Amino acid sequence: MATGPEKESKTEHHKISTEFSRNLTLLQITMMGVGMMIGAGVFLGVGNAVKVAGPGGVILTFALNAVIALFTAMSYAELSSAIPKAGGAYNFARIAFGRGTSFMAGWMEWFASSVAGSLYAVTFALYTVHYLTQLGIIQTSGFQLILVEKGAAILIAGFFVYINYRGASETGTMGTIFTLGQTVTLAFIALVGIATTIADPARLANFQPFLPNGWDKLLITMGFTYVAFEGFEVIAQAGDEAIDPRRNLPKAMIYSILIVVFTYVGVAFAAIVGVKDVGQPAWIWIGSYGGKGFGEAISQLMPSYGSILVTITVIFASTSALNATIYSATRASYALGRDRMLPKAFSRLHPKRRTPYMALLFTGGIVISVATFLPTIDVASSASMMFLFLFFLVNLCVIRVRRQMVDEMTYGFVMPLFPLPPIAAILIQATLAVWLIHMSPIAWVVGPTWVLSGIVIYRFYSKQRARRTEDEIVVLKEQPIPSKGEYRILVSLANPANAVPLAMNCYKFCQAKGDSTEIEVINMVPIPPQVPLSEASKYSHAGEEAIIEAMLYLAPRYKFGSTMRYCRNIARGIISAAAQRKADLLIMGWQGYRRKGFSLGSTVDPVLERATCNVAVFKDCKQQKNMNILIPFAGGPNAAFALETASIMVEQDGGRIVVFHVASPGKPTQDTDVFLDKIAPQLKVPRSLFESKYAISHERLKTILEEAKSYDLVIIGATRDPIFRQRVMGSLPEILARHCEKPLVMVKAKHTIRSFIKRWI
Amino acid sequence: MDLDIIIGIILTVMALGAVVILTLWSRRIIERIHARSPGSLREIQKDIINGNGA
Repeated sequence: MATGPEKESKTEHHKISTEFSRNLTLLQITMMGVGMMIGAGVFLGVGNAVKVAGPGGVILTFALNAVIALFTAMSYAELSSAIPKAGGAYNFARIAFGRGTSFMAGWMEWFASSVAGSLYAVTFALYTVHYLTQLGIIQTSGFQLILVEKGAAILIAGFFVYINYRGASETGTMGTIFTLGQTVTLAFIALVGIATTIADPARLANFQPFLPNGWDKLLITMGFTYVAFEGFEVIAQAGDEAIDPRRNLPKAMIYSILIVVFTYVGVAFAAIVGVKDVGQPAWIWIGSYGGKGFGEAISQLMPSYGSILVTITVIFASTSALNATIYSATRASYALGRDRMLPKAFSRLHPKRRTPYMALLFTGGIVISVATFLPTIDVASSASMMFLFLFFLVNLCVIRVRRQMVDEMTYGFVMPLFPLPPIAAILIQATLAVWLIHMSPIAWVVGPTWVLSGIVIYRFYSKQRARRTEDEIVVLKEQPIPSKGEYRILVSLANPANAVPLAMNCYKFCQAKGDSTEIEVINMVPIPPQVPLSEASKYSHAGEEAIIEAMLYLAPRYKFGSTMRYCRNIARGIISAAAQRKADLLIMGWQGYRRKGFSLGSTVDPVLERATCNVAVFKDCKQQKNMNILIPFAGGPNAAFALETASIMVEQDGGRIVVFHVASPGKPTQDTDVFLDKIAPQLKVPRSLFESKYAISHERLKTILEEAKSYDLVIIGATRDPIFRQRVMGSLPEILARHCEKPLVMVKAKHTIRSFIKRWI
Repeated sequence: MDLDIIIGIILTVMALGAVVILTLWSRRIIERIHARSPGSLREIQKDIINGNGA
């Protein structure tokens, strides 16, 4: 994975390569995330959370939400360290799931960030105009006041569009200044709250009753305030501009959560203890002010300067959040334009400023339009919903990328306790997204409408125009079989020398499965990373020859198709082809040697682990007749498929299959006869074809290898151990496969539920 | 002090503690990986299994 900046964009007229400048430090990107989080909901959240869950509930709400948010932040951190490019979730989804999902991720992120930006612009305008009205500087009301507020919102949004246009350095510097200002102010408020409590411990009585409305109300307040923790995704957008992104992006995401949780808990504590002598319980008094409860409580805590302090803090918070959201939304739309999912104009970089000025222009248009014309609260709820969808998607991405690309990605961070954090986050975020329907039914209209419009745009515009990327597997030549018949065999060919033996073995399966069997031969053309994919045809000669060899053997009798694809990783290409073609059986060859660190090889290992169909890997199987076949038996999940394969491979006239079980001394032997009695009728083969043989030995491997010497072919089921455990610990079938001097077939049976999960994750 | 307060304080401390621990743990992993230069998942996991990593 390239770590360098984007180098492909060129200005239309000058044809000069332009790229983002890498000048955002760890502090700057951390503050961008903090700024977006604090501006999102703490001011409105405290009052409402106290009203619903009580004084203790608000503290617990922020503390528990932080843990959940940190789980998703770790997913973002891991993926950002592996894919440090502008685009964030869009890039993650493209690599994990492909173009369609990635377009929707980018499309939702663009909208969510843009609308969140307009919300912050309106928030800034409301508080500023309100304060200026209190001072008597603005003396207007009614519709004129609304016009003034809208004008202020447009001005502040336009100002930050300009700041973003000036470039990343200015963006980061401004964001850092504003965010540091608000964080220091909030920390000061929290310290005043603690100091006041030390001086007057009786204020702790405000925490009684701790949860006046019960524990269940916590779920409501957690859902309501969860958006106060969205913000770390803006850090992912800085992948092209951050210094040392593999190290700094994950750090910044995790630090930002740490900073805001203590800030939130601190100011919530200060708000609770700040209220005194109001004639009713503090939590009822704060709750009665709703969203303004936080400001009123702090005014009680600091009577002389609390009001101005809160106003200044809100101004800091809303402006830094506005800055961060414009930045994030612009980068999301830039990435869509860069890959031609949206018109090319979105990817244009300013030759001097090196900022994506056209993407910024469109984003600014959305932010200002929404701030001017639309009711912001419900649309902001829609944005929150799509952030939850995004986070849900990103947690799926981290699981899929880990499974699919063990050796392809360069990681700067891998999360601890995987996969528990993303699974927990997925479950809880799904609950919160559903819960939002109770908060804002309109969000469930606006959100899906935006998603549907995205689907239409993708279907009729983006899908045809989307640019192929270096990560994709591309079809070079194809002669597909038009329909999926009863049984489809995919044969993966690598070189002409193996073509005929594999075709011969494939032919035996076809005979067993009937005349309607379809065969598709696939050749993956591996292209070294330093060679452009456009040069792939130079590497296709051997593959073409292999396909012709197989075609001559198989095509006269069965439905035959062939595909040549080029890719960076052969295993992923084969797995993907098997899933796409809905193959029932994948046949491939194995040379018998392996790279260090792999059980059978860098291609065979992942295919056996992740293929979604039955797999048969052939080693040195060049002879036509197999009179004696040995099946080492341990009762594993692949045993039945091994027997089926043996019944197909064995010479039908006089051949025999020996099922061989080696038990360790002192341990009970497995009764293979019971198994054979059960399985033979299912396979529709005579029971007499199979013989059982037992041995007791300390050295199972040596015993099996010795026994194998007198057979023509050995068939063994692959281990079910995870691939990593195989490599570290080793497993008997794979070790046997490596050391066996006889022709060997390793088989792995499809597991329906597991294959279904693998297909999607 | 009623039971709700006790449970609430314990939960809050546990949640904040979990955030701090996971942050420090993650930071340690980042620094370890960076010290040996970023690599593939397999290389990093191998390093961890061998006791050299996080």
